[in-house]
Amino acid sequence: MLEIAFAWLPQLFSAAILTLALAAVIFAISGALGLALALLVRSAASPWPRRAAEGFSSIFRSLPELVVLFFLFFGGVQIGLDLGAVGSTIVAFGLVGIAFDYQVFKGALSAIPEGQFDGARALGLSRWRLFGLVILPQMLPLARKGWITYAIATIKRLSIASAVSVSEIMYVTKQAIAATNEPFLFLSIAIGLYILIVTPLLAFNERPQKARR
Amino acid sequence: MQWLYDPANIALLAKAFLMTLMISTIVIVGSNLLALPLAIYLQKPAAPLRRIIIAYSFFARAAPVLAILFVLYYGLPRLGIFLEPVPSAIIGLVFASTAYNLEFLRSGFEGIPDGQTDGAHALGLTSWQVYRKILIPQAYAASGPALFSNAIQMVKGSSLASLVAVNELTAASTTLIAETYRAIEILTFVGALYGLIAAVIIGLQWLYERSLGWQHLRR
Repeated sequence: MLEIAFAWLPQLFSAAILTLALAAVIFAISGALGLALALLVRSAASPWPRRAAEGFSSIFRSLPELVVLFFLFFGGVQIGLDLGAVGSTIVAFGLVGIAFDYQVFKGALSAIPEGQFDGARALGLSRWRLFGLVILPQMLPLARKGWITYAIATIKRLSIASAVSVSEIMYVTKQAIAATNEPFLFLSIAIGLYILIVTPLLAFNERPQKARR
Repeated sequence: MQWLYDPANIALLAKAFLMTLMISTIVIVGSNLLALPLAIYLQKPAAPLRRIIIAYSFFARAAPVLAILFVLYYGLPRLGIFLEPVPSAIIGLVFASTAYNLEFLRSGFEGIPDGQTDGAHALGLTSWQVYRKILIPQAYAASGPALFSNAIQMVKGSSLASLVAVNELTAASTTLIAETYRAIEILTFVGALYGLIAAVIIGLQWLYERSLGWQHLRR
């Protein structure tokens, strides 16, 4: 049984790398754009950007990722926009990720007292310096827990990309099961890989917190 | 939208929608019913099964739901256990979701100051009464938002059952796409149905929070 596992190990390993690489790209996209959206909504004078962002965010938070993924994968082809399996996965999870990260950053932003904005403006800081030097350093510690919670969920939910044959961990696991008829062996390895990836994040997020202030 | 005028397609979607509703309801109710006794049990620091429950909770939250569904779908037949796809998917989804509800309720209980239990005991309430009248309502008030948004996650998670041969809404959409090639219309329609279920849950949350009058949340 061990030989069978060893034979599949290189493929499982590269599948794990692909899962991590996809996650990194998705985290970068959804983190940056989710933050930008929260800042844009906050600094806009008109209520319309907020309404649009809330609408976008509630739609993509209530749709199953699999439906969004199929929408891009099958729907893209229908209108002549072939994103491919990996491209569809990145865009689908990116959209859902922006919807979640927007909420995380919006919450962190709302926890910063209005006086911080007024004070920075009174000191004559430009808009960029206001966000970069005053607001962002206070926001990120507040946003961290929510952001990591969503990151963990994303890494696990990436397993559904196997449905459009992206060769991440679950896809290779399914192939290995079909080829060897050893479901427990390969599912144990797959779950072990996920635990290996996710445990540091879970442990970091659930470490005992020192009382704040 | 011609595909929608075909009665066979409407019947397929209606059946699939009911399946999604049924799976979601059973998973939401089942995981909440299981999580409460587990969370109460963990309030005793010396509970003998404590480690096992904590290990379960960690495992269920670290492993992807799809992997858990695959264990039941591919693994059980190897052990000579043959379950229909629907009950097998429901068991997997309940297994995964209970752990989250357990953690939300646990932190709900832990947020209540110990003095309340001591005070209630001093007034002569039995342990059962302390839980029923003092601790459980407050734990639910504190973890309510997390439990409701987890309920929406469970509706979304029911779409994974399509990958283990359950004919629910997402599976029906892929069947229809293969027949009609109208992916955008079909998935928009199906997405709206999921949105409808999420809206109902958000509505229930609103009613629940209104019934609390918010006073429990503003501690």
